[in-house]
Amino acid sequence: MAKDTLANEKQMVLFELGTETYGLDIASVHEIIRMQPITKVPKAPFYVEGVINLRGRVIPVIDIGKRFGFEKTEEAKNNRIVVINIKDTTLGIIVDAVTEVIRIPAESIDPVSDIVTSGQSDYLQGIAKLPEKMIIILALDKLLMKDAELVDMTAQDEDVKQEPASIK
Amino acid sequence: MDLAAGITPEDLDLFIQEADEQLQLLDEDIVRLEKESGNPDLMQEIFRAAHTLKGSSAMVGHQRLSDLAHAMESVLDQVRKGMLAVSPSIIDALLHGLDVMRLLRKELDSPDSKPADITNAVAELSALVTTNEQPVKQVAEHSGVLVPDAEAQTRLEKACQEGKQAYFIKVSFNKESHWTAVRSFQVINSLSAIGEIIVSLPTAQEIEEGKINHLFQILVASKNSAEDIRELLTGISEIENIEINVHEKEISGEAAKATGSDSTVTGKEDTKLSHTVRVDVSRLDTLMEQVGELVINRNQISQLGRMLAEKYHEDEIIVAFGDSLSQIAKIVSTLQQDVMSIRLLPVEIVFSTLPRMVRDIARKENKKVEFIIEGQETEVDRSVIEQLRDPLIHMLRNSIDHGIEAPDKRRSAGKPEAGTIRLSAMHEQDNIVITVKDDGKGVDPKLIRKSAIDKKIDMPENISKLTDHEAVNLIFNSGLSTASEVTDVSGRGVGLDVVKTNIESLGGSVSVESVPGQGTTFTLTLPLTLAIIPALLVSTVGTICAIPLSSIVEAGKLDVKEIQTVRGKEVTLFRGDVLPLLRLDEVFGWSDKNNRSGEALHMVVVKFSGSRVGLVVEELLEQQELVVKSLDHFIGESNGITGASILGDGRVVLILDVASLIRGAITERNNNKIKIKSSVSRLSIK
Repeated sequence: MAKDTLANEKQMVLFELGTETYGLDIASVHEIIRMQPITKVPKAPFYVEGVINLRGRVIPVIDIGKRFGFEKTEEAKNNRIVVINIKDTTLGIIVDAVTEVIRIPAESIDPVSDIVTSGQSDYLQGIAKLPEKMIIILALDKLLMKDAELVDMTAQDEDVKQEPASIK
Repeated sequence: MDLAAGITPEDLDLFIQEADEQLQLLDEDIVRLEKESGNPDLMQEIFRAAHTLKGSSAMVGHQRLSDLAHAMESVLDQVRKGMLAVSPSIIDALLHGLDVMRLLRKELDSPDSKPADITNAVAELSALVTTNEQPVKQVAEHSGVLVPDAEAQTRLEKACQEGKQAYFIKVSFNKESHWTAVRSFQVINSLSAIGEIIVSLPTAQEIEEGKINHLFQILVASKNSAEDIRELLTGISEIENIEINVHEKEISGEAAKATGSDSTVTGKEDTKLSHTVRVDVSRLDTLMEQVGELVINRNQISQLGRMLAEKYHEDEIIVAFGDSLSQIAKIVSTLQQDVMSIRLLPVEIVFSTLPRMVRDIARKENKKVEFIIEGQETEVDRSVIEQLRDPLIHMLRNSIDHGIEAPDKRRSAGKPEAGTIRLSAMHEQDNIVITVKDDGKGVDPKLIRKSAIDKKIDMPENISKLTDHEAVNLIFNSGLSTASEVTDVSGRGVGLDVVKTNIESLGGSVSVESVPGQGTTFTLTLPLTLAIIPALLVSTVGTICAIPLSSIVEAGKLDVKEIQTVRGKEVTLFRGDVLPLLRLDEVFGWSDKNNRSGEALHMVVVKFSGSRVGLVVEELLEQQELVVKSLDHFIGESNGITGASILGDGRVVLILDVASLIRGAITERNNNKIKIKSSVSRLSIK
């Protein structure tokens, strides 16, 4: 009985970005902390805001708004940093506000179509249709994988740019 | 691969740990054996290691490993008895067997791997065993030496705690005796009456099966004296000789290896519990991290305490608070030092793996090398130890390949046929200094200069200006190799430059001195720890950065008037030399040329790999010891940052990677040069 409910439900941390509501699997959320001073890191990928001190650990913080091509996340009182663990990496993501933790029945989650998201559906696990609103569910492991690739790509770009100079 | 049924993962872990130690021990000792073939203790240690490995692998059901260990043991046994003389081919066979053993051991990590084939190794070993004696397995074994196993050790320790003394008794029976089994039981019975028999060789059961020759060894714990025992045994007939020794506890190979250099501490004491504890490395790392946090928090609290004291300086409670605060501060400092010292390990851990490598390379190159290690007990932090191996391997290879001459050449040069390579380590202030010294042909500065000009390392006029010492140090330049032909070992011109870059990126330095015809000395200097570094804090556009002191030459004020430009690049005069300048804020893209402030600036002169650059910053803050934390890889690499640290107030500071900053600046400068050159050539074409 209990097993059934567990298998068919997902517990999600909901947060807001702009006007949309997103959900993160609670298992990957380590903790939620208030905004704090962020030390900027030179030449990091554009969406990396910098690093913070999480009780003695230095962890990177990314602006998930920038990552998805929204406007930069506005600085507001409700801003939070959601600290997540993906594989061996701990990082913080800045969100507008964390609203609640809910259980979502698995059957209410639909896969996303490319048309809705203009080709970025890689980072999305699905969309949960709840009576009152739609929740976009993030697939974090994929998000980070792409990050690593992106870092590689920009590094390669730089190499390419430097090359012509030395050929001359 | 199949293991014995009922083996738990814990058993397996234990076996793997033990096997790794025995394998490493064998590796070191077999190489030593070649030089010290007459050393019975060494021989005994090797035999024991092979024997232990055979037993424990049979126990977990790793049959092939056990078989191979047995083949090795048979060879060792004959060597031990003097039936076989130690020769390079025997050492080769043993080492080859050892390599296969390592493969077999690796199978346990990756169960899917193809099972290694032991037939060749076993055949190679068995071929060495002289067959004229028809070594009957059991007999050969029983004439071995009694080695108490783990279970016996425990019983021995228990008996000793009860106040008994352990005796090691060797009884030789008359060669003509047909009653050795009976006599052995008589011995057992008499000894049982006065003490506890810990273990015997052969065991009582084996004696029953008739597996006994003329030697019987017993380890017994008794409250009686050795004389009492002797008297007791002389009553038994057909005994030719009785040897009774007080059994001193030996540290079993594994304990000695696990704790590294502390064998002098536990030494040859009476049988007592070991004074060392095995701890997982990750636990130590966590402990170190926790202490690091504690230090940061202590700084925070101290700061708050000072603020409180300023605000309510008459208040009694605040005064008392301040007192206990300074106590805590002291304790935390001590704790930090202690944890640091726990993390220190003797360099022996790396050094001990080298003799084997040196031997292999020397054999391959047909050179004779005497390899001497000194100061292996010198301790450094784990973080440094891990970085030592590769540079050492490169330098040793270089010495054998380029330094030591072939035996005939050495003879005609009036040197002993075998070259000597001396590896030594010692402490010098907060650094560890490691030297690799050979008595080979040395490096000829003339050849280096010629090679450097041929390979266009720099302008010929610059190269000819170099002193001999400077020229010799060009061998750390990539693309420069003086070996006339490319060998398997070295000669591709890579290696030494890698050594230099790696060592310098760790905040160390490497240099070489050479006397042609007499030898070469490499000197490698590294900080004792990489976990905590002294650094200078600087600020630029409101951000604080840390520059490791190891790369700083000088720091001071810089007046805007002192800045000049050469081809659009900012430079200044520093001690008579033109010093390129890098504005930190612009390098990092935090501000640009157009809105430079004209205020007083500061400059930190940093060095890397012989190049110097002036880093322009707004302010110099203070000098501090920083606990280095690594940054996540996806923040991007080679961006001029090596890591981060946390200040007393909780702020994160970035630690600058001077090496990559300077390298970046050099690349840019070279690109500019080439651009200018190409524009000139275009003009001439017109």
